[in-house]
Amino acid sequence: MIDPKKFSHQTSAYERPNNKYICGRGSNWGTPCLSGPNFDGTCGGAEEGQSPCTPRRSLRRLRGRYSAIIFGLIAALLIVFNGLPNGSVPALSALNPGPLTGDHLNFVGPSSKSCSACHAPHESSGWYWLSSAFVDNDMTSKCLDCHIFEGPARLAHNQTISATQSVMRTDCVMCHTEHKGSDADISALSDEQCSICHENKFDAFDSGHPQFRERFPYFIRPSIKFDHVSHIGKHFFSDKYLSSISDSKLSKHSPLIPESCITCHDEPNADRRVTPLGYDIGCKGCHDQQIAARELVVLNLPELLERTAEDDELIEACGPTIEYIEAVISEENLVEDEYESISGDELDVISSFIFGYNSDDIDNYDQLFRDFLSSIITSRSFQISEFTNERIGNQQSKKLFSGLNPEVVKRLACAWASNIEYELPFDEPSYGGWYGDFTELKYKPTRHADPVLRNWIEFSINAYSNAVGDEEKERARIMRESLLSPKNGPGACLKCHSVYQVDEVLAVNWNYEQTREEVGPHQRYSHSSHPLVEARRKQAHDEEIGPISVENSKPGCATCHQMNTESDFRGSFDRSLREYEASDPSSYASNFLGITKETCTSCHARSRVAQNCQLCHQYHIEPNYKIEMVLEKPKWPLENNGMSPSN
Amino acid sequence: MVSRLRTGFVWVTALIIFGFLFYEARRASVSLESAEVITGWCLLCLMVFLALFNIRKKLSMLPIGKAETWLLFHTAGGVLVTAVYWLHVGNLWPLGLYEQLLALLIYATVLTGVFGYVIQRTYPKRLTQTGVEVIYERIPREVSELRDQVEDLVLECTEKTESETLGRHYVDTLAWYFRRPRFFSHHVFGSQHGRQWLRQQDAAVRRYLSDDEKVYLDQLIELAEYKNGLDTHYVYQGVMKGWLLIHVPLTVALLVTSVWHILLVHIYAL
Amino acid sequence: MVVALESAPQRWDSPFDPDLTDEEVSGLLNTSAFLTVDRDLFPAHTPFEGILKNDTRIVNFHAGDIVVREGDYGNSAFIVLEGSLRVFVGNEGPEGLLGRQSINKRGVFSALSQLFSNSHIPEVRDTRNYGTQNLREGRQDSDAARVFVQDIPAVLDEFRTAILEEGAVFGELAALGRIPRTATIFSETDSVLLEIRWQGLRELRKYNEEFRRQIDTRYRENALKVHLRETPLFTGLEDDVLEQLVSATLFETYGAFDWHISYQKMRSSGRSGPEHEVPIASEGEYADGLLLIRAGFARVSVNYGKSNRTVAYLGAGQHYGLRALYDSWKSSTDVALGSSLTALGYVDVLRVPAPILEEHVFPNISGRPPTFVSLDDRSVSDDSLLEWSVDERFINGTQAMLIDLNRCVRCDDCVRACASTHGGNPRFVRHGKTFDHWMVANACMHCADPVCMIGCPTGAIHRSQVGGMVIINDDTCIGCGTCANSCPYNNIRLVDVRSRDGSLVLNPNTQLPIQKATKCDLCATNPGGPACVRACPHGALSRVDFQPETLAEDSP
Repeated sequence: MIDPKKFSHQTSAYERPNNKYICGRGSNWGTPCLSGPNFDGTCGGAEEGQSPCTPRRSLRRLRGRYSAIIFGLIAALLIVFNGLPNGSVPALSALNPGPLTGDHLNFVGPSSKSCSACHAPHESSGWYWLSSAFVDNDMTSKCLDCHIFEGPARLAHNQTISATQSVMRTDCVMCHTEHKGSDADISALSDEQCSICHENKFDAFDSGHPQFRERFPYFIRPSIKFDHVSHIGKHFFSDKYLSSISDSKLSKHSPLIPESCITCHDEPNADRRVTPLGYDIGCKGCHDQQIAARELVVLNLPELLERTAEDDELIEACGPTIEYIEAVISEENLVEDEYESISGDELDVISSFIFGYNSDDIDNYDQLFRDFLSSIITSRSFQISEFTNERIGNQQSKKLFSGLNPEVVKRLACAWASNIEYELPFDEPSYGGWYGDFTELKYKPTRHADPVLRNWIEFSINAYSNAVGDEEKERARIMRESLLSPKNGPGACLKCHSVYQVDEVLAVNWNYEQTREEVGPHQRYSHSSHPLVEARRKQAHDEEIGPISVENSKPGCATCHQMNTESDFRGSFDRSLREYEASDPSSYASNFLGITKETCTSCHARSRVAQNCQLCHQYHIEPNYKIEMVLEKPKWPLENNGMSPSN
Repeated sequence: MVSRLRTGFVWVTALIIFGFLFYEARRASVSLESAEVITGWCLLCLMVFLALFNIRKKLSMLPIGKAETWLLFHTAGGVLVTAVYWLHVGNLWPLGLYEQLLALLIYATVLTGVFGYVIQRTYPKRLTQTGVEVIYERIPREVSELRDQVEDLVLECTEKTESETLGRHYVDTLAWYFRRPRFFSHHVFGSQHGRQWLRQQDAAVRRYLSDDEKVYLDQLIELAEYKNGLDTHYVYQGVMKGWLLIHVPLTVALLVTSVWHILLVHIYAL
Repeated sequence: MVVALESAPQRWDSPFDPDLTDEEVSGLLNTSAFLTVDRDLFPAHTPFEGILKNDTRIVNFHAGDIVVREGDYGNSAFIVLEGSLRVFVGNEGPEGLLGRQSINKRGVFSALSQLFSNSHIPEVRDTRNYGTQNLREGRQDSDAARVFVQDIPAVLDEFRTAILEEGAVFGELAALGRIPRTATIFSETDSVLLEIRWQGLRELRKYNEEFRRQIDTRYRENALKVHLRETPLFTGLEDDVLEQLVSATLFETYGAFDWHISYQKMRSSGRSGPEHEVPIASEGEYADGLLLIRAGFARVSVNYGKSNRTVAYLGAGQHYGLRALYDSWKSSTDVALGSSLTALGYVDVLRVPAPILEEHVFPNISGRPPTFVSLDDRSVSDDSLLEWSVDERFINGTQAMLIDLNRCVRCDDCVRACASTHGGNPRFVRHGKTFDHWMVANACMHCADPVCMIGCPTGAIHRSQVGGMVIINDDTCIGCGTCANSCPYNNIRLVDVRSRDGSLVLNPNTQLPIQKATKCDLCATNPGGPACVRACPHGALSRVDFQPETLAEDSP
């Protein structure tokens, strides 16, 4: 305890801890002056007769000084770093708050304007630079320098959904924030974030997600009318069917029965869709032979009222007939019989359309047809298309009569002009093609996807839409009906290839195709990433339970795709065929049962497999890059992005 | 003395504020708003509020609450700032170079603050235990006077006993001790090394002293014990004053860099 | 009437006025005031002439000089020898005459402006305010400067005054009762007064019947009735009973007026403690009346071991002996006092005789009066703080600065806060006597018995009308150091004042620096109370009232 006398009022002044200076002698552990330093920092001991010391700064003064130094130092550092060209010293770039992800990494580097790929530089002047703190940065437009979407980029979901509430303007950085590390997931979106906007809010997929729509995902009629139920249920495994065919046929048939779904479906490349492997693998084995039998009669000899040509004309054009030669040899005069047409048929539907008269309008087509024949026989090499050009166009004609030998036509015409049936000099062409047969000009399909037949079917469809006048329209309709009817020759194509309507014009689905809109642009599913399905499918193989079946208890694909044996699959196509104009591709009966939510929730549920929104839904529509991004290595910054390189 | 109730209330309030901010940040991030902006500005406000404690000390002429209450807010606020900082950054250590500087500053500031809090809680009791009470600024004078006193005593001993054994010992060892405060680092950690050293010096010389000299030695040791108390005060009070020498400039640095950070964010990102 | 003398008049070794000649004393004996005094009644060791010679002095006042000021503390009385004086009636008087400081609380902005107006130069003053009082040098070297009324006729016109003629005695109640002067008195004409210091006054009262009667009557008339009425024990009494009480009550003084000087000596010579204090009542004796403390402090102690143990101390308004008297009355036997009462410094005591209590008071008391603290449930160490604060006379403090050293980080924020509210100058030293982990710092305690105020020549140091804190008017302080020397706690310090440019302000006559007495003013002008308390970040500092009735709550 210090002697209290040291603190008596005579011996001790007030201690002044707010003094700026402390005795220099005292801080060196000498004897401090009594009066201490003066307020101006000079030694107060000098007045006491001591040699003056150099007072030191007090601790608090020192503290203030350190604070000021630190302040100045940091301010100076900031100014220096900000003054450096951005990125010129990458390691010292004071502005980069963290590594970028993926290809964005390319933005960071020695190129002088790398940051400005995304950030406006605001470099024109100091004040402008400072004032831009109060102006919003449009980062989104920078993103859109490279990224594109199917739809407006700044609207929620690229505005493909009909929003019940005013959809907020969106910016990319609302979800995608960078500088969070090179391995950061900058696309993650949580379920809660989804339900901020979506009015139908629920906790999780298994607990609140609405039931899938009925028939999901078989909303739209498939392009190929493959009836899974009848094929699998009847032709592949039905005892009744298999016993009804002969042994030889059965021995041919059995190897053609598919082992499983993936015999016909492209499982190794499956992702969202497991596309069929196509005709050659899936259909040809059974159905190829059926195709050749479906001949198309393009032209026929109708009943004619008069002789087409005089004999001498015919002989000159076609050469003497056998009768004529015999008559010459026997020197008999050819008996001019009363003319009687060898054909009693009406004009064929195609001919009727081409000649422009109704089938039974013999009075009008007679002369025309005879002239047609005459012009064939009198011409040195007559192209039938020349005759039809006027009505169906040159190009079209060439396509329709592609491969038709003029000689065949001439011979046919000669016979018909001679009022005799044409007889093939040889057998029917086994590989298909044009041939005349008695009173008809026929086309025999050469193979699946025969172009001529396809042209005729499309011609018949177009002719109807292009027809002018009621009569012509009617003739076109009859022709179209005839060609599209599965009962007739080429109509067989349409037993598998469905017809659909685009802008009131019919079209045929020649290829397997499934439109995106079927299940919605924001949904996604990957068959290949469902290992459980995969495993069960394989198990089905191994145990030889019977690979595919219409019975729904079987595992494998049928885990989700269960057949609906009750549905009128074909009927829905046939019905629509009868009413082309009203054919609604969505009103059809799939021969699969709609997949229900329960199918998914059996795995995707709480404490089982993930069930977050983004697993099955994607936010954007067709996110992609601008073409220049893909074509060549882009140079930063992109041209015309509003940035002018300065200094 | 601020009551426990009030202390509890302040801490609970801090907890509630953090809870609210946590909720708000979560809400903002779910709503695709920028949670960082909310937490960032709150962080700045909190840091400014913490820095205001220093201003309050300069404004003690105003009735703006007891400094004790302010310290309570300052302490709770400091912990809150740390928590809000983690909320703001999302992890313990940021990725950007500049952000790492910020993190360094904030951690350093908080840690020095914690250090200050701890020593201010523990040192006063140890100071009381010395039995000595001295004003920090007067320690140099006190040491100097003590030195004079001791030297007079030793001189007197030498004159009276006509033996220079104690004087020799003083010059050899104890003069060093009385020159200035000693055993700084030992005192910082509360070690009693100073006393042990004194006992050692006492024992070392005592056997050579006459009874008369021993009386002087006893007085000498008594003064040395007092000096040991002064040393303790010098060290403890020095540390209690000195830690602010780091804490305050760090705060200045933190505030400047934070403001710059906010400026950059608003210029380039928002 | 018992007056306990501490000793034979050793004080005469240093007479009040050493220059007072025998001729002047014999002249005094012939003045009208002392003609009738029966000198034979004075004992041989203190003859009346001796009193006059050693305990009085003759003071000359100019016309206009203020003799006593309302609110001042003084320890002497005056007898008018020549000339006439005027006393202001009621609480009137020219403004500024008293040298008091009018406390204008600062507003927030005004308080804040100190941040910029505070100077880093120590003790800067705006000297323009100095000299607003009319000061006159004292005639003798021992006299300090005097304040005087400049325009007497105007003052007499404006204010109501009463006249004091030759032979009048005044100031004796304040001197004996240790209470503030109740009126301001100035010299109307040039006058000669005989000033009698309190020791002489007490002897006069003791040995001169007439003098005593004169004082006692005046005291009974002026103050006693009010005082008794305010005592809780007597509040329910009828007026006529109270009259009886007033006439029966005796009043006594114990101890030394200048205890603040003597106690330090006693302490340093190891003679502290009850056994060295003037006894008022002793343990084991029988009580003849209830002792009411009117001013000062008294210690209640019991024999304990080889010494006495303090159980309580009593301040103004408290009483002693009630329980013993009550027990005696109840049991109709004499019950001895259970504790001793000794004077701590100076004590003014009223003795209410037992019979009147037995007749009028005890029948109305419900139950036995409580004893002082029971020793059964208190250990010696429990009471050590009490002993310490009594020994150090901290009991005098009403706003003592108590620092808990276990919490104090010695940051000096309190000192800086103090400086920030006092123009950049601290007004206390953060150091003081310690006990255990408690320190009473060298800051003004705003004592219940403000000994510092005794003898201030200009009334600069005074008790504030509002708040009761002791403050010094810097403008009227002349730096004489009387207060600083009087303060037993070293809490008043004289400072050399400086002008705004930092140079010392010098007295033009002496070329010595002008000094001013400074001390804690409890931030009287600042909003929000003492800044030191507010500034302590660790709640270590508090301002504590050591008064007996509040100590229990405020003390640790």
